Amino acid sequence: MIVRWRYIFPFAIIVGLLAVGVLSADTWLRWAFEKAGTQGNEAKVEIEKVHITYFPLSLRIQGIQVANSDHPMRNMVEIDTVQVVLNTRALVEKKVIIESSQITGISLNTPRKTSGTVPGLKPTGPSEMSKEIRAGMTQQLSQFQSLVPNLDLPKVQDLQTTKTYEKSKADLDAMSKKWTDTIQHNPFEKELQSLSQELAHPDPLKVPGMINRINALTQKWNQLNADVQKDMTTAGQIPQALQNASNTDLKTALAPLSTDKFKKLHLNTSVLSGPIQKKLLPWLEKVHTAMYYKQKFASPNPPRFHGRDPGVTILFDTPKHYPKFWLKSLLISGTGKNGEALTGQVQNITTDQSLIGEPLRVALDGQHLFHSSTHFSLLLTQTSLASIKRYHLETSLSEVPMDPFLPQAKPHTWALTHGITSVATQLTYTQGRLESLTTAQATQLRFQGPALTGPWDLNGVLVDVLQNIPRFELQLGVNGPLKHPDITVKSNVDQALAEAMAKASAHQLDKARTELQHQIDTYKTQKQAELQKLIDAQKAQLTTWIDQQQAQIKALQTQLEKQKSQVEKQAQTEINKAQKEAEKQAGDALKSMFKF
Amino acid sequence: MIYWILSQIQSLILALHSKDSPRQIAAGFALGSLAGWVPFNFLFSGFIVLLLYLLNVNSGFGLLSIAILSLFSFLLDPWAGQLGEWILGLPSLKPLWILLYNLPIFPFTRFNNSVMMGSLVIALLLATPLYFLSYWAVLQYRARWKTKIEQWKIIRWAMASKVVTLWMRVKGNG
Repeated sequence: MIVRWRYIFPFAIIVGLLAVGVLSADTWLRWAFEKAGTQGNEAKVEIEKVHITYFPLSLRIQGIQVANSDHPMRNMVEIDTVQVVLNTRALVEKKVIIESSQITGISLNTPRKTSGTVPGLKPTGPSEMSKEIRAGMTQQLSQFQSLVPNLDLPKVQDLQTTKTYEKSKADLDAMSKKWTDTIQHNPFEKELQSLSQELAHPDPLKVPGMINRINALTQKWNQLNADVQKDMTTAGQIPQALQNASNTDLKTALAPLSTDKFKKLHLNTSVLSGPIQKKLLPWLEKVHTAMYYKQKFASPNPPRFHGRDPGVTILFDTPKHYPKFWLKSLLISGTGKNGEALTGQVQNITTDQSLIGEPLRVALDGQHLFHSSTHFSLLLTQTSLASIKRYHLETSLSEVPMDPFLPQAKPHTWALTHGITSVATQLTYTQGRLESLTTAQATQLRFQGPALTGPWDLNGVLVDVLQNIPRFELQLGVNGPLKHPDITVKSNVDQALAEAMAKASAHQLDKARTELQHQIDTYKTQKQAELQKLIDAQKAQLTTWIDQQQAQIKALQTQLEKQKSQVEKQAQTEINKAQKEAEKQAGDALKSMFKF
Repeated sequence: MIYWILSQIQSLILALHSKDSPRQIAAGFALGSLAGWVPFNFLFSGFIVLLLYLLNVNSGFGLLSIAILSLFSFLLDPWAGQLGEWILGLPSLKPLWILLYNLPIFPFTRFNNSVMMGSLVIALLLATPLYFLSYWAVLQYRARWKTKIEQWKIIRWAMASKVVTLWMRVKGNG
C-alpha cells in the first residue's frame, strides 16, 4: 500500500471540518456582524445576506438595517449593499489593498416594520462631548492649522537655483554668440587662403616672409585657443555654482521646518486638550527612547536564522509592489429625503501616493441636498509629477431648470483662498434646457496650484492621523429632518486624534523635509543637465573648429617647410653651378693667358 | 519535546531493526531530502512532511533526512543560486513562471527566489541517487551490522522501553 489510510482518515476529517467552516462562513459572519453591531448600536442591526468569496477575496453584505435606539420603529441608516474586494496576496503580506468597494443604496431615517429594541438591553442615550475637551480641541486645532500656510515654499522664480541658472544660461548664450561669430568670420581664413595660393606658385624670394607670416598666424591661433580654454573653464564652473545655489535654496526652504517650528507643532499637538497632555508626553518620551535604542543597537547585518544565502528574488510581471494601504475605489450611492440620487466615488486613497503612481480622485455627483433642482458634481485630483505636486480641482455646477423658458446665462466669478494655494475659480450658472447644459453650456470651475505648492500634504496628514489612531469609540446619532438634523455625538475620538496627530505631524515634517530636498535636487539636476547640454554642444563645436584650423595651419607649415628646403636645395645647386662655371671661366682665362 | 525527540531516535533505531522494507526507509529518506535541501518554507516543507505521514514511507528517516540535510544545505547555496537564477531567467519558461507567480497561493512557496528554485532542482536531481544510496546502505547495515549492534546495551534498552513495545505492537512486530 502506497498510502497510509489510518492517517488519511483523520486528515480528511480535519480538512472536512475546515471546509465546512469555510463554506458556512456566510452564515457565521452574518451572525457575528449582527451580534457585534447590535451590541455597539444598542439597537438591532439586521443583515439580510452575507456572501464571501475567496478567489478573489470579497465580502458582500446585503440589506443592512441599523435601528435607531431612540426611535425603535425607525432605522438610523439602511444600506442596500456593501461590497469589498480585497487583494488576497497583499493581505498575506500584511498590506490592505482594497481592489474595489461599494456602498450602495444608503437611506437615512427609514421606517421599520418591527421594533429595533433589543430585549434586555436598555439604551443609555447619547451624551455630548465634555465642554472642556471640545474647547481645547477647537482652540488647538485652529493653532495647528495656522501653521500650515507658513510652510509654503519660495516661488520658483525666487529660487537661487533659478537665478544662477538664468545667469549661467545668459553667459553661455553670449559665449555661444561670440564663438559662432568668430567661427563665421574666421580670422584665419583670409591669411590661410593667401598663403595657400602663394604656396601653389612659390616665389623663392618670398619664402622667408611667408615663414614670418605663418609664425604670426600660429601666435594668433595660440591666443585664440587660450581664450577658448578660459571660456571653457568658466563654463565648467557652472554646475558647482548651481549646486551652491541649490544648497542655499534648500536652507531657505527648510527654514520653516526649523526646530522652533517643530517644537511649536509638537507643543500644539501635545496640548491639544488638557487631559491628553498627561497621556501624550509620556508616550512621546517612550517613542523617543524606543527610537534611540533601535538606532543604537541596530545591526547593519542582522544574523539570519538559517545562515542561508538570501538569493535573488525575481519579480515577474504583476502589480506586486503594494503600499501599506490602498483603497483603489470606493463607490457610495444613496438617496436623499426627497428621493434624489447622490453618488460619490473616491479612488486611490493610499499611504504612498508615489508608489502607486495614481492620483487621488474624489468625485461627487448628484442633486443638491437643499435644492433638488441643482445638479452638482465635483472632481478633486491630486497628481504627483516627478516630486512636484499639483492640486487640481474641477467642479462643474449646473442648474437644472425649474422653468425651461428662462433664457439667459448668468456668470459669476470669484476667488477662493486655500491654506496651500490661491485659487481662482469661475462659476457660471446657466438656465436653459437640460441637454444643452450637460454638453455645451455646462459650467466648469477649475484651479491649479503653482508648480511648488509647499511641503505640507494635507491628504498625507489625514491619512496618517487616521492610520495612527489606535482605538476610539464613537457613537453618532442623527435624528429629525435633514434640513435641521439633531446630531448627538458621544466619543473619545479627540484623545485618539491627539495621539495620532502628534505622530502624524512628526511624520509629515520628516516627509516634508525629504520632499523639499528631493524637489530642489530634481530641479537643480534638471537645470544642470540643460546647461551641461549647452556647454557640451559649445565645446564640441569649438573643438571641431579648432581642430580644423590647427590641421590647416599645420598642413601649411609642412608645405612651407618642404618648399623652403626645395628652395634652399635649388639655391645650393645654382650656387654650385655658378661656382663651377666661374671656375671653368677662370681656367679658360688662365689657359688663354698661358697660350700667349 | 524531549520525549518526542527520544521517541524519534528510538523509531529510527527500530526502523532499522524492524520489518520495514529497505525501500520504505529509502523512500522516506529521499522524500525528506526534498525539504532538507531547500530553504525552509512553510508551504513546501509542510507539504513534504504531510506526504511523509500520508504515504507509506518511513517518516522517521524522512525527518532525519530533513534535519541532517538542513545543516549542510547552505553549502550548496552559491551553486543553487546560480542555477536558480538561470532557470528563472530562461525565456522559454518565463510564461510558466508568470502564470505561477500570479496564482493565488503559489507565490508563497517563494519559487521565484533563485536559491529556492536552484535548491529544489538540485533536490529533485539528487532524490533518486539518494534513494538508491540509502536503500543500499540499509541492506548493508542489516547484512553486516544489525546483529552486532543489537547486542549493544543502549539498543537493547531502547528496544525494551514502553514506547518501543507499544510501537512494535502497532507495527505488528511485538
